[in-house]
This record gives sequence, C-alpha cells and structure tokens, in this order.
Amino acid sequence: MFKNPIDSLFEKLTNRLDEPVWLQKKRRQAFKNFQDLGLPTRKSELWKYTDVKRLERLPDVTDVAEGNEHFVFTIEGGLPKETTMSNIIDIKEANWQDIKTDKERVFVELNTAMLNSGFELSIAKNSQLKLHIQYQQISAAWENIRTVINIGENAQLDLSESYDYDCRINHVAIINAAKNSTIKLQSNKLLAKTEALIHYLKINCAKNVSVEQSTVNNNASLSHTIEDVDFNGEHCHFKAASVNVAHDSCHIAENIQTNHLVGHCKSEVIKRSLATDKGQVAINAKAVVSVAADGSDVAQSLKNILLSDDAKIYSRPELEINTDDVIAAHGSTIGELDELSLTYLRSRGIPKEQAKLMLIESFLQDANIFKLENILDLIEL
Amino acid sequence: MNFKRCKLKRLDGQNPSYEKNKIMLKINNIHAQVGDNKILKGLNLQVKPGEVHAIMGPNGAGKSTLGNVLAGMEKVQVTEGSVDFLGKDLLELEIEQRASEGVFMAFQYPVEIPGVNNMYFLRAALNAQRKYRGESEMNSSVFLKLVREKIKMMNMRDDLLRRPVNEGFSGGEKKRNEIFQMSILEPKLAILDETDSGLDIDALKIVADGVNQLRNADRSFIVITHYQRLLDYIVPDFVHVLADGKIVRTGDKSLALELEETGYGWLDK
Repeated sequence: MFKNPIDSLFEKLTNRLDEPVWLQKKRRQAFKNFQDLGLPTRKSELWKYTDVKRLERLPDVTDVAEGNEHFVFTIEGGLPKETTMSNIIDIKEANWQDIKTDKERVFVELNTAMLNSGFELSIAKNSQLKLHIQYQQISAAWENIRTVINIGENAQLDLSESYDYDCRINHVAIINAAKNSTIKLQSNKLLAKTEALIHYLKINCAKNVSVEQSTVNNNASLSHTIEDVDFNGEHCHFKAASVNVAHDSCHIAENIQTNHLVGHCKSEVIKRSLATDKGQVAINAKAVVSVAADGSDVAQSLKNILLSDDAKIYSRPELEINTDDVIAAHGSTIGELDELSLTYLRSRGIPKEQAKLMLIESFLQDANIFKLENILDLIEL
Repeated sequence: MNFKRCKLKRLDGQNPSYEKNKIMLKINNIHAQVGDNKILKGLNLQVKPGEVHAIMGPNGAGKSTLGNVLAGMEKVQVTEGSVDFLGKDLLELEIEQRASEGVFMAFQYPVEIPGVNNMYFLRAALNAQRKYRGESEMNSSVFLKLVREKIKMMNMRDDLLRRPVNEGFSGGEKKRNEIFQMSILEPKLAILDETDSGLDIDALKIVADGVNQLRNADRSFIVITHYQRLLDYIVPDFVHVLADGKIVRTGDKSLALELEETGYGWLDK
C-alpha cells in the first residue's frame, strides 16, 4: 500500500474523480505531506512498539477503493429537525477541517489524499440523536473514510459504531462538540486476525461538554488508534474506557492524548488489556495540562494481563503538567492472572477455564462502563 | 508430664475399629514436599463419615501441608503414598474435581477477589458442583432462598454477600464467610485450616457454632489448629499430634487438654 504502487494508485484515483478543485488541491497537498513525512518508524513515540510493516504484509493491499456506499446507518426515531447529513466529498471548502499532522499522524494525510468515502453530520442544537454506524468493507482494497460530526449546543449524541470483521480501513474521525453537549460513544472494533484498522479520532470540546467513551478492540493484524482530545472550554468531563484483547499474533495499539488547554476540566482514561498467544498490546495515555489550565483533574489507569509467556504488553501513562493547581493520578500494571485467586475459585468447584473468565470479567469491569454483556465472548483461552 | 494419665495409644492414625465401618478418607504413607523442602514423611490417617479429627502440632510440623495435599493445592508435590476418598484416588483429581467430589477447604487466609461478587461466586461454585454431579443448575430464586436461610446461621450481614469475595472483610468476617460457603456447598469432608487464627472469642463461638450445625453422620471434619480452645467448641472424636511430617500420637479430646498444659517439648525427648 505504501511503497511504489501508491504513486500510481494516487494518480489513478485523482484522474478518475470528478470533484471540486479545492478538494483535488487538498488531496495533492496531503499526498505530498505524506511522502515528505514518510511512514512512522520505531523512533516515532506512538509507533514505538508497532511494526508498520504489518500493513505491507497484508494481502491485496495495492489498490484503493472508490464509491460511497460504505456505511449502514441506523437512526432511532429519524434525524431531528435541522440536523443534516452530507457526503464528505460534497461539503463546502469552508467546512473542511484540516488536522495538524506529524510523522505519528501521517496516515491522516494519506486518508485525505486517498479519501473515498465519508460524511458530515451536523446535529441541531437542543436535539437528541441515537445512531448506530456500521463501517463496511466493500472490496478487498483499503477504504479511506473521513467522518465529521458537529454536535450543536445542548445536543445529545448516543453513537455506537462498529467495523466490519473483514476490515481494512483508514478512518479519520472528527467530533466537534459545542457547549453543554453530551456524547456517549461506543466503538466496537472486533476484527479478523488478518485485517487492519488505522483510526485517528479528534474530539474538540467546547465549554461544559461531557463525553463518555467506551471502546472494545479485539484482534486484527494491526489495529492502531490515535485519539486527540482538546478541552477548549472549561468544565468538560471526559471519560474514556477501553478493553483490548489480542490473540494469536494480533497487534493492538491505543494512543490517547488529552489536552487540557483551559482549566477545570476532568479527564479519566481507563484501559484494560489482555494478550495471549503471541498477541501484543501497546498503550500510551498522555495528558497535557497547559499553563492556563488550573483546576484540571487527570486520572489514568492502565491495567494489563498477560495470559501466555509469548504475549507482550507495553503500557505507558504520561502526565505533562505545566501548572500548579492540578489533581493528577496515573498508574500502570502488567501481570498475570492471580494464581491465589484462581486456586481459591477452583477450590470451590469452579473449573479452571470458568475461574479464569470470572477473574478476567472482574478485571475488565472498570473499563466496561456500558456494561456490555457479551464481552467475555471475545476471550479465547 | 505423664502421658499414661490420658491413656494415649500410639495409633499413628490407624485405628483397627475403622475397618468395621466404611472409611471415607484413607491417607496411606503420604510423602509431600514444597519445592525441595520435604514436609510430610509417611503420614497415615483414616476418617469415617461423621467423625471430627483434630490435627495439632508444633509450627512446621506439616499440618497445613496435609490440608493442602487433600485440597489439591498445586504448590505441594506428593512424592509417595496414596489418598483414597470414597473409593476414588484423590491425588488423581484436579482441585475443582476434589471440591465437586465433596472436599472443602476452609482457608487459613481466605483470598480477596476484587470485582467478583460473593453471591455470583457462590452460585457459580454451587452450580459447577451440581453440574459435575449430573444435577440440574439451581435457579436464582431457589439459590437466594438457600442463601437467606444459611446466612442467618452464620450471623452474617446481608451486605457482605453483595460485596466482592472477602474484599474489605475483617478477619472474623472472612472466616465466617468460609463456613458460610461450606454451608451452601455442603461438602462430605471439610478441612478447617487454622480457622480459629485471628478470631476473637465471640467470632470463634459463632464460627464454631456454624460448624457444629453442619455436623452430621455423613459429614466429616479435619480441624487443623494450634490451640485447644477451638476444640472446646468443636469437640473432636480424635486428636492427632503431627510432628516432623507424621502423626506421632492419637487420642481423644483429653489429648488436646494435655498438650495445652505441656506443649510439644516432649517430642524432642
């Protein structure tokens, strides 16, 4: 996908597209940026434990998808009044939102260059929307999807999203939350062990925004997520929890950065990860508290369990505090299932596998904030 | 010191009268070690249904190791000997199989398991055992009724059931919880490993009372303890003195009283 054929793929794509000049310019600039930045390497902090060559090893990667039938929307009760949805290709130039990229976020540039599908959803103020989106894999080629969701003042969004099991998607998502809005976001990334997902998520929070986010990552040859959250207004409350389960030779990388640009916002990041066989999980959680962000409250809890000798987990909580009046706590643990607890459960007649699942269920409890009932079905012991 | 006074017999755990009745547990020449440390060195013991056997002895004698061997704790390695439990080779069974066959171990240090609700755990355990025995699972309403009935017996607070297993429990509450679990699971053989340790006298009475209520003609107990005081409340049929990995003396309850007076210094003579 990323070596020589990509030049011709890009040409092929842009030549056949009939779209506004400004978007063509964006594509060309993004493609140049992508080429200039180059692929991430082990020197890139957010890719330090992720081998990007895993993408090259995927079969049939040398093509690019086209077309727009890549989503299935299920909207409860229909779209609220004055809420609009449009194809990403059809949006006005003024509505296009550039994302600051670097070598870590270089796939955002590739997404812009090769963009083939997406939408912009603008939720009217004071309205409520409950929505499920299924991101579909139409062909064997890579999908480059861009989604933008603008949430109006006092609006509420309850979004659950899932990706096709056979997924090869580079997804860039932007959520702009106006003041007093509330977001409940559930992402299910339950992928085949041979497939890949590159996901970049940017959440911009105005004053008094509340976000509750739950993500489940299961398998994939490579599932790599970078999430940047900006608090632009005070009194925001952000809680992100994720459960990550890597079997066989799967690799899951989750990177989240919360940027406390103003004071009196609270961010809470909870990650619970399991790796078995030769599975790998890499977790980075960073919180940056700016000079002006007094009264910030930051918590990071990263807990990880290795279920086999060959499994690997990298876990890194990080705080960058640039002011004095801050409450901050972070912690990271990596271990095995507690043998004493396992023995205790078994001593009451509970079979070993069931006892393990009970301990895993209790381990995941903190991160299963939406109380997903079938979460244990993901675990292959 | 006068051991003749209490009419001790050197039985080494073998009482010929056992053979007249069915034997529930027969431990034959057990040798066991933890790592390279040989702890049990040819221990023999027979237990019939309904009997209560107290195991006493100095520190390091192998009392808890005996309990661990019977319960199937993996840290203990049996190198020689056999254990027959109701006609089955106990040593061939996994921990959970032993439990389902009716062996229950009340731990000296019950484990705290954050996140696993006590009720959920108990119901999972009961139904796992029922499934093993080919019985149907107990539904939640019947289980709840059973729990309410048994919890009164142990004088336990209801809210402990809704909390994670043993998490935040006091020492006494943990021990009571062990006996409460026993009352729900109704084992054939219960091993109480220093259940009296860390208990004040009131808690001791409550725990002992719970055990006594579970005593019947089909259920046997092996009570491992350092102190005679527990045996004031749980009156044993036999008291065994374990020293250096073997049972060296066996007697009735009076042996425990004698040990309380004399200690274990005589073992060195």
